[in-house]
Amino acid sequence: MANHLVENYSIDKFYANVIRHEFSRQHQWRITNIRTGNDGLNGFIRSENPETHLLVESASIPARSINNVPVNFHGIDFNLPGNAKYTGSDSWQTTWRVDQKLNLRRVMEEWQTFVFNDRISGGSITRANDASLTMTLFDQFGMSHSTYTLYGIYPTEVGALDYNVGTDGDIVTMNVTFAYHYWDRGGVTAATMNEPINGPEVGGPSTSQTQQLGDGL
Amino acid sequence: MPHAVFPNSFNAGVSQAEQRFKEFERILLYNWSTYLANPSMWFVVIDKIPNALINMNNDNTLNKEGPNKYTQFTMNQQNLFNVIENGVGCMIIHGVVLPTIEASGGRESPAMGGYYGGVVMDSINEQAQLTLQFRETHSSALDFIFRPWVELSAKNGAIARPPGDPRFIKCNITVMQTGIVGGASDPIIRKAWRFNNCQPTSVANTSLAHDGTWGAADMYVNTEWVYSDYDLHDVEMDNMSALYDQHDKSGQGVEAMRQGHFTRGPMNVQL
Repeated sequence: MANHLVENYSIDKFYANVIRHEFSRQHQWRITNIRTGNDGLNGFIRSENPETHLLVESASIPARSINNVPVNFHGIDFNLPGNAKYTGSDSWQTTWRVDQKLNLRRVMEEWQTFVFNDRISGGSITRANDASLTMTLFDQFGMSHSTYTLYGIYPTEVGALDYNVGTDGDIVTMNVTFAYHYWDRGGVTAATMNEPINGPEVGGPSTSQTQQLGDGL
Repeated sequence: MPHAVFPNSFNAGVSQAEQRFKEFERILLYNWSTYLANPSMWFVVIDKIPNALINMNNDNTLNKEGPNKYTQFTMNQQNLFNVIENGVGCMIIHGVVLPTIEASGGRESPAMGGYYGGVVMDSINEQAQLTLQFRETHSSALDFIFRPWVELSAKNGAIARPPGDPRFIKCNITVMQTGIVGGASDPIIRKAWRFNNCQPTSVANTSLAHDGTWGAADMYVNTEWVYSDYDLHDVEMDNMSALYDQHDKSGQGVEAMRQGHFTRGPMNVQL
């Protein structure tokens, strides 16, 4: 059957699809849970710096890739899938707004020092399911629909803070680079992906699929 | 083979080159048996650590004989034993080098007025050696299990003894190589090497330094093993390509993955 441009890809269909599924917006995202690992560090972030989830500025949902394996025949590359890699798992970048007394900076420094303390050769064994970071994505009604959890996370680099008396009161931000083993996704599944976006006032998502902002932090 | 007609595929409507191309595609992409194997899909099972290594304390015969002495707490040793003898695989093994096999052959010296000599074969020359690469870990299997085991190899030799004999120091090592069978299915064991009557002959040296950084590869240490013979097992499902094709076309695997489920592989090789 012929595939007709106007019948199948018209502006009306595009508009209807946007209304039904909306677009993901860059601000509809937060880091909602950080578990710093074992050795009594669980809850460390929560107890030491309760505003962490409000200070994060940017990060990314990390990538996953499959190594391509070319097999040649008469010079043609037949591209076969190889092993999976969690691309960038050794250097996941985040940016944070730093509070005036540098509590966030202190927490990240101490977390990193707990991981390996060069002065005493002490350290923490980073465990996959004990050290994790969860990002939650929200719809325009503030309801969460998906989570991404990075397992085995620890800060590899707590970035420098730049100060300059010649600026116009710009806030100080800090880059923190993390490493993790792998990630997984929660929330939306194949069974629920086609459910339309509805606000609470028109029925709203079921409670099993949603959680409130900040839950678990 | 002589060509009666120079290139004749236009008239015949059949291109042999195209047939070869399609055959290459078939065996590479549509035939499970000839799909490219994944070199990282494997695991090793070690069935038995010698009784002579149990309780590595002052009462151990190896320690009494000396000159070296090994002291290891019981629970630490049990922890390592469990890891090494784990039926799902010994997960402190990082790499395996499987042995080569060769039979040397060649021509005899020219004789008979400059004519080539005939081709002759020598006896089979098999490298009766298996290399297992272990990770050095906090509690060291390399130095508390395999190092004294090498001493046992030297002291007790390679003589065949019954399993109940306290000088019985051999084990069977099985290297399982697995293959994918679907998006949401366990891999199946496509090939299994069982090396019989294995005993270690060496633990490689390690270097320690105060370099600022280190990688995991710095903590990989080779051990060499000898064995008497090996058994090689094919995947224990006949007509595997047809079975895979049937499974693939059923769509069950993909549907299971979409729903977040994983199916169990159809079988394991029973050795």
